[in-house]
Amino acid sequence: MGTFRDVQNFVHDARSVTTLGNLHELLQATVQSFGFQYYALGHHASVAQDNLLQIGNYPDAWMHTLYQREYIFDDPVLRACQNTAVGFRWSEVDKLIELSAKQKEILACASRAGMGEGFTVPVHIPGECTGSCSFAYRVGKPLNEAVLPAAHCIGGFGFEAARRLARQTDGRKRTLGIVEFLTSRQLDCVVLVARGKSDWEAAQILGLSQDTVHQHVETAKRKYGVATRTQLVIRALFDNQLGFEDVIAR
Amino acid sequence: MVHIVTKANRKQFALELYGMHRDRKRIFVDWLKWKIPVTDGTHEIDQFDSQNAVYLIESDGKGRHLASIRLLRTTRPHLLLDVFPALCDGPVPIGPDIWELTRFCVAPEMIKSDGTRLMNLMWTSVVEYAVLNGITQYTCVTHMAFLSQILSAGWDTKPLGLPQMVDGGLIGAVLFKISPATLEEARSRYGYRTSVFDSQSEAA
Repeated sequence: MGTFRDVQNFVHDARSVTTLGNLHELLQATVQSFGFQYYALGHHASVAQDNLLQIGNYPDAWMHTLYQREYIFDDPVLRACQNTAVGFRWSEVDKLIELSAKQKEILACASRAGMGEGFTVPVHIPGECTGSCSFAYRVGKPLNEAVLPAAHCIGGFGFEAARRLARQTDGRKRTLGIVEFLTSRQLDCVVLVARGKSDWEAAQILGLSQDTVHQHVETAKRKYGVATRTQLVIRALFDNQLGFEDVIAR
Repeated sequence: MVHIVTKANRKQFALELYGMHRDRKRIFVDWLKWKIPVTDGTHEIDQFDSQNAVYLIESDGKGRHLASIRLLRTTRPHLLLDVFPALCDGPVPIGPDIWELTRFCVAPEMIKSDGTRLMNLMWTSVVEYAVLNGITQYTCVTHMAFLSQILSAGWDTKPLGLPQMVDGGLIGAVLFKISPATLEEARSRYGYRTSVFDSQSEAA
């Protein structure tokens, strides 16, 4: 398992799939042939917007928790992705970032949902919001190091296959998570929103009127095509216009 | 305007080449920490930066290097054949219509403000150069950290072997197939209606 022939077959098959559904089937079969049980591929900000890339087979219970509790801001794997461009093991996340109690709790939660050791390949494409491809074992199964180089290839080529399919749908800009650059004033306001400040508090801090702050935030939301401030913060975070340290203070 | 720099016109582009080697050092040695040779503590130059190398260099028109990439014939010494043949599962692809791409570099100070545009411009120039010169395939040795970025160009790409750890980094080799359709697609995607090369550059 995890041979070069496996990678060649995957790359060949991924070129000819015509739907995300078919790509999902191919990815699932491939990663499971490598010994993994679960995989997830997509843009990190897909929690905020339905039309961003997100395919996978993580346990429902885990997906539910992730969406429900806004773990997106505290997920240590997503955080670690901001710090590296190379694949890493979940058991080594503490070498990439300093784990807070909240982040340790998330790892424990994933474990309770049945997910064990994992491997994540970050995807950083200039001009697009960050994404990744992750593979995970069932709890208790040890990592097979020999498959990691092949897994890295599957992650990279798999993500590109998903992008290719997304390009073919309407609203390419939206489905690919193209970065919408905020002006520095808009960003000032979004940072304060991320920290939980009201428009009034933000206005005080920035020396602007409350109405102006409101306008900046609404313009930023329109740029991204999102409905809520939380979604706006998520997009700005994974576009690297906002840092995790800005949202940790929530 | 992208310049095609060969042994025939190198002297004309001395400033741009100087800037390129200096920026290569800042990116590959200082930032990425690759263990490659540095001259005078300021320039990154290796054995393949010979008279045989072709460089595609984007400058500001006043001698300043903004982005570049190095092209080598596979019928002569090159990285994949001479340094990393183990990255290929089978024989190293060699042929008069197969060239190697290496040292893709954007000037550090340009990355944040103009990085994406420069990257897209260099991808387009590489494809145009191929079509102008009858090149049908490019091989490329890359750190796996850049795989997604490279694949995002959308070319017909396949891996040549499993990636391997080299000096603490995961390195892999890929092969790109280029055709006139690839050029059309690149031009359409990045908005270039005509050649990206300056009118004085000769096809090698």
